[in-house]
Amino acid sequence: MYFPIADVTINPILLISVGFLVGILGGFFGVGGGFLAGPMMFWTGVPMNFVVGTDMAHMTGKSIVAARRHRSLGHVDLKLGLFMVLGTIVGVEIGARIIEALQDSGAIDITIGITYIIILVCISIFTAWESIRAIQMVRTDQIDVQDAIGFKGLAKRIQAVNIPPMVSFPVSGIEYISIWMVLGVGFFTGVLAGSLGVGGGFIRMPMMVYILGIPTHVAVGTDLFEIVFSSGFGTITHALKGNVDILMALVMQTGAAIGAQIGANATRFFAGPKIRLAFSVLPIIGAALVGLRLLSSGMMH
Amino acid sequence: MKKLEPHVLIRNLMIEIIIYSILIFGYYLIVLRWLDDWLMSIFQSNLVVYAVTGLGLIVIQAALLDFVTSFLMRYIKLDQFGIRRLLDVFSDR
Repeated sequence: MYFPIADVTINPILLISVGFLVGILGGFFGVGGGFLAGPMMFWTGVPMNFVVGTDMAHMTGKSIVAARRHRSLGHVDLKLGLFMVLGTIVGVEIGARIIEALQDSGAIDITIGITYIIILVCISIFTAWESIRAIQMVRTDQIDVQDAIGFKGLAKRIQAVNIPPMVSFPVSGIEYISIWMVLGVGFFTGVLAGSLGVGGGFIRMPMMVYILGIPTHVAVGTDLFEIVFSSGFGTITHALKGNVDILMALVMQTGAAIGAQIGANATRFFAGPKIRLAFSVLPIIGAALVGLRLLSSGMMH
Repeated sequence: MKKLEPHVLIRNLMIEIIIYSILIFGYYLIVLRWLDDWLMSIFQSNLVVYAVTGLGLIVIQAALLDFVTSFLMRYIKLDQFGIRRLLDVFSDR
């Protein structure tokens, strides 16, 4: 199939397959999947300048489907999602400005890349350790598998911080929490996303669980709801620069919509600890891809 | 729900994928291939209109696909076949 905007011919089945695979991951784990879709799109022959923008566009559609499905399952906290969007947007802008300011110092790619790898590996190790601990707690302490979390201390302390205004999130089971904590988590993930150049999905989901104390299923659904706005905003900004092939995004979305439905439905069959354990593999994949990119750019220089 | 043999699970999953493939192929033939000239002309004439139209198309297609896939899963009971059964094998609920 010829895509006139990107001026490239690509087999649509390949694009649909990439969308399908990333859709399943997105629907199940609440991530945009850009870390995986980007390299796969490049591999199928999408020009580099169209990869990020087109991925953002297809991510918007996929997240709408997955978030709607999660909402019907009661897994989306709209109020929490909207507050986090505010923090994230400000964070993304600050993150992008930090990058601009650091650009003159040289070796910025390596510094950011290594920071990113360290963060992702830490998230992966911590999530795996915690979820295994939670699964063991379910076996030994006979507690409800949905409530099982191997690391509750930080979330309890964060929820106890009394800086007004305080808000409640009944869908997430949070009676009161300082609004600044919610905005802070959104802001922090936004800064990381803006400075590291990727969506913060696989940083935000564990932070919502471990720092704010949101149940895993609600964190997945709410994260997808937030991705609708962040990737929609990204689609517009990239499209204005002429870096989005909408036709390509629409083709990818046909596969992604089905994958997202399957992924979102699949969360019904798994308890929080098992979702988190499976999730722990994703940041390692992301870290490996960043490492490969650093190595290849190092070789080119 | 009674658990099925692996070969039956895979067969049912393949049936689902074939149904989805036919639908996507039909959609591609009917809708997507007619959009390229129109989108290209907007892309070349006005990027603001292109950006807004693009996002609109993505949202509309998402709503449409959501309806179709939900319909297949719910009313034709596709979710009672392969994928659902496959998930039951690994399920902890």
